[in-house]
Amino acid sequence: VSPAQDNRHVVVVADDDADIRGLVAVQLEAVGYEVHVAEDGEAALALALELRPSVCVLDVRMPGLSGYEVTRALRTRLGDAVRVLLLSASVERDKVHEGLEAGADAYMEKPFTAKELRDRVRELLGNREAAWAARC
Amino acid sequence: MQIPMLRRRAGKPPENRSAGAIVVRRLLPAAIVLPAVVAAIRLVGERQGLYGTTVGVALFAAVTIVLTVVLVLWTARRIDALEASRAELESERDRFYSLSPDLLCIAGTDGYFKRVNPAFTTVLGYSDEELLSKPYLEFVHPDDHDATVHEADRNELGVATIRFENRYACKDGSVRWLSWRAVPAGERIYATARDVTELKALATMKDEFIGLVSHELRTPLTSIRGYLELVLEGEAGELTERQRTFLGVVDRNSERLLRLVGDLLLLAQIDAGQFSLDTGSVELRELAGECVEAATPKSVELGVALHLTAADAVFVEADRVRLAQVFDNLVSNALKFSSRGDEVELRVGRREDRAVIEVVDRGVGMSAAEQEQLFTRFFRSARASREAIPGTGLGLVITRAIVEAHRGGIEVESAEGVGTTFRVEVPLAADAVDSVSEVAA
Repeated sequence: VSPAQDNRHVVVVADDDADIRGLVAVQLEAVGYEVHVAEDGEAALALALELRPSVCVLDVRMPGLSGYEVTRALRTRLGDAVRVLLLSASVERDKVHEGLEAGADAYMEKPFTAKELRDRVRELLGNREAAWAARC
Repeated sequence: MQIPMLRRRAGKPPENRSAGAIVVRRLLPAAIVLPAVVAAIRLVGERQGLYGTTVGVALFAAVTIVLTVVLVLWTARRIDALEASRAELESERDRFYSLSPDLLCIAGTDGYFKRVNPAFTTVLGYSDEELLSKPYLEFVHPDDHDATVHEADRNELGVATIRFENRYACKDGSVRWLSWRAVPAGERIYATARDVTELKALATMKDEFIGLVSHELRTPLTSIRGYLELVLEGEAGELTERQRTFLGVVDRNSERLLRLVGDLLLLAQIDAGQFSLDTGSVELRELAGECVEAATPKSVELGVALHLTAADAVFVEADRVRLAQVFDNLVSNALKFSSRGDEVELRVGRREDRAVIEVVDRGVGMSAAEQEQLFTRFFRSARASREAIPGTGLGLVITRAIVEAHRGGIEVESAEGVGTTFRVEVPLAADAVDSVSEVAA
């Protein structure tokens, strides 16, 4: 069963901070996405492999598997079928490059506004659809 | 040894005080002149019949012996005095050598220490004998072998070391970071090293602190601002006007806190030398337009007119986010220090090979004394303090650091009662400069 059947994009959100996890979920659910949350990297990876989401929103710094590691695993297992957005509270810009090297599609610094998050996710889905269209 | 003698004859002050030079200088002329003169006097005396040959020979021998003995004793005293002063110099040097907390050594180009000071034992734990008995490379951390060999090769070629860091293994198994300076002289290398292990640890701690503050302050702020935004969006139900007003206060102040955290982190990065630019082609007229748009609500609230004057597109090679921060800081200052009904103008243009950004206000202006302190951390002008104009005194410090990182400069012109102009200049993008000269041609 494809999760995208009811035309709602599935998004997996992972952050070890429950408040942020809840915040991202509400910000995205409010505009119609089907959101599933995970509290660490392992859970996020398991959830993503099971649900095949359109987008994963991952915190960089999580206990166990980091956002980078989950991104790498997702790229290996799911190819470019999933879009990855990394979130980080760090101000070090090296991290941006590290995230993109790991295969993430976008990177966002905390704090972000609901609008920034929604715009970014929409952009990623646009890219994804364009990529699918190009392939067909 | 002849050279110092010649120098002396040429009328130069005595420089070489080696024992050999003293002996030669004093005894050699005497050895030649003395017998000749005494023999001549003896001959003259004999010819005039003052004494016979026997007395003449005896007198000659006696005078020569006495004069030679006097000369030798005089020379010996000079040499003794010289040695005493030399021993004094050596003991002075040795006192400093023993006193120095820094490591001082003489190494040979054969790869061995020739002499080490007591600080070596204090820092590394090995005795002098242990340090001199093995090639020094054996005390260097294996990961730093290659770099150390490379540096020693450079010394051997005659290149001095200004700063070179490597790790040494201590006798107790610990590792210390040493920062070296060295100067080669023939077969020997004179070197000093400072134990920078603690400094390195502090630098690491500072980095970790920056990371921690960055994460631990920004994460809760993300939650505060994010949920607040949801409530203000009506996600948790309709708000009364009073609720909206109160939450507006929370919103403004959390934003202020966020900005402060951002400024402090940026300063910490600048101090730690970790401030780097993410450069690309940036068009300043467009960036200035965005800044004016963002500042418009504030200017309307304050009743200050905000204009942008920019004739042409101006391209620079810059970090877009940081440069936007420069615009925002200068415009927000100009608005804060203007009165209702005043005007603030943001101008973007170019002069020769530089882009020029000016922020002009017709506000209260500043005294010369205040202008001097403007770029000092946490400085607030008298008016800012008196009228409780919000700010931390960090904005201009950061603005200047960003401008300077772009190889640019910032200056201020201000007169009390007339207004203030901040002028920022940064180099134009290389291709933008070319197109200007083509037009000129």
